[in-house]
Amino acid sequence: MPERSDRDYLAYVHARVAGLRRTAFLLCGDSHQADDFVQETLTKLYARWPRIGRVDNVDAYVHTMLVRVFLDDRRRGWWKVRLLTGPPEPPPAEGNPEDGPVVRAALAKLPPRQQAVLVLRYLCDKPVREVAELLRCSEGTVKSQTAHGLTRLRALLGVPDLEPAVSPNRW
Amino acid sequence: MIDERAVRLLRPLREEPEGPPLIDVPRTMVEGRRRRVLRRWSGGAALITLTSVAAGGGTLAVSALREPVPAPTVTATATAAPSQVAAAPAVPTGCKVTRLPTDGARKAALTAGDPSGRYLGGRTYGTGGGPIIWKDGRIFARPRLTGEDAGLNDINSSGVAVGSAFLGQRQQGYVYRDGRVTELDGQHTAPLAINDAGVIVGAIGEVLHEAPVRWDSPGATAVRLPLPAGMTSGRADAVDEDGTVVGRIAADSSKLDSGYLWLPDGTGRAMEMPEIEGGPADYFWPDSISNGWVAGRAVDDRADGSRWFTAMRYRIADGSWQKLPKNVHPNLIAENGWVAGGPAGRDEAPIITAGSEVVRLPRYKTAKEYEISTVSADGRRVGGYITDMEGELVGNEPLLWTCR
Repeated sequence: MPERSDRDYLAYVHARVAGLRRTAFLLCGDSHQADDFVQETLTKLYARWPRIGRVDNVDAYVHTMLVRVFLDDRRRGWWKVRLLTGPPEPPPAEGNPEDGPVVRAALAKLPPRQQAVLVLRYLCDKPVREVAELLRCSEGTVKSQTAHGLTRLRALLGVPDLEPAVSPNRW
Repeated sequence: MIDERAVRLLRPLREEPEGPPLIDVPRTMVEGRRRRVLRRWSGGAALITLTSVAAGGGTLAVSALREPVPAPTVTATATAAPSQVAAAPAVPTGCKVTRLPTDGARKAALTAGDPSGRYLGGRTYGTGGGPIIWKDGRIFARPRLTGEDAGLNDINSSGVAVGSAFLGQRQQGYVYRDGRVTELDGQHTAPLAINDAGVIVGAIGEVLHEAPVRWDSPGATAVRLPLPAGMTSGRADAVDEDGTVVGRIAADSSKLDSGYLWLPDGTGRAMEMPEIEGGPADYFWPDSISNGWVAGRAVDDRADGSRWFTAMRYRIADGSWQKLPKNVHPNLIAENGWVAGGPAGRDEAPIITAGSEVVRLPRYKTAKEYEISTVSADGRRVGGYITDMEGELVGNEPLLWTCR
């Protein structure tokens, strides 16, 4: 397969940058950090672009890289970790579980892979198989990480694990 | 099937990023081209590439790296064997890296190692994948653990390994010994470490209700480790050869946890907080224990919502702290006081610190992303794996570094 050109790269980026940024934003909840993640992902992509012709599914490949950039950022202990996004004031530990900042702060307390699994499955609407491919793990791992992540998130938000089918009146 | 309740739980986060994207596409090409050249011509050169994520999304904690090195001296402690400590040469030399065989699997991780450095454990992925044990660099056993996502967490010098798998939502701990796999006592068990005496420690209980636990032998009854008043959750991460256990405990699982020691005499104590820049740390998260030392990270949560880490080691005998010369993670301490450390940055291989000396381990092929899992008692064998996923590298490959 011939090497892919700069023109191809620019065309690809133009078509995909908005989608990548949205996924990055859903992962981290911060527009500026989402830009940083996409910048790094595209840099990696360009570094590999001449050889990318060997990759069957470029979109999946790029999204895998994006998730990896996110996980690396969250895992690497010696980076300054942004625990909370948005206002510097930490949101109350027991806030309304329907407020974005409260849910985001709770999500940030989960291990990075659990964060990624929940975001990819329930905000990016990706099926288990696709999430497993993005995270380079088995479907079983995705399921167990999902279960652990949800249990923990509910506990952090004070939402009962076995909620009735009809949402109770909060008043 | 999609879980509607889960979708509803996360729905408040379903927002769009603000403003126009600030992606500098020309810069991705300049920087990407530079990386192509680096990869092609510099190979294993120790070039530190600060990625744009590092530059833009956070600040490298250089202050911690540049401060005068406290030169942790190797001191015999109450539990130390002075002759071994005295015999340790200044630094490891002649380090080499080898990829371990994987029985045909392209992807495998090395997650466990014994003090002698002869036994290593991990898992392979793909069809026929599962736990694997190596002895002297060769495949020694393929234990079959019932359940999904079976993996090994530790192995001792007799080749007794501990690991776990998931039976539905329930995590089940197992022991592999002499060709046989047996279940550990208890429900929802996760054995994390085993010492040469066969003492196993880990966690027991459902997610959010995990408690530190010890099994005195593979067939023993699970014994919950005592928690101080007000503390309800935690786990035991590692066990020293004298039976000292280190772990992390918390008031409840929604709170952050911090280091705690269970001593062989049956008493326990919270690890005091080390002094770091500007006062005591908020938490300490242990990575390893050996010969009376604990190594790990001090955690500093600041008012602006940021979290900073400092790699430290702690001497159990007198409760003293020393900052480690490189601020990396994890920090796996050996019996002679050397510390195997994770990579100091992207594009770097792991390190071994001996006193104030830092020895960089060689890279494997073109791999840029490394995790380490184990160090031998003599500090000369470090096990881990790569997490690269480009070119001929396929995600995880198990590696062993050996030094003289």
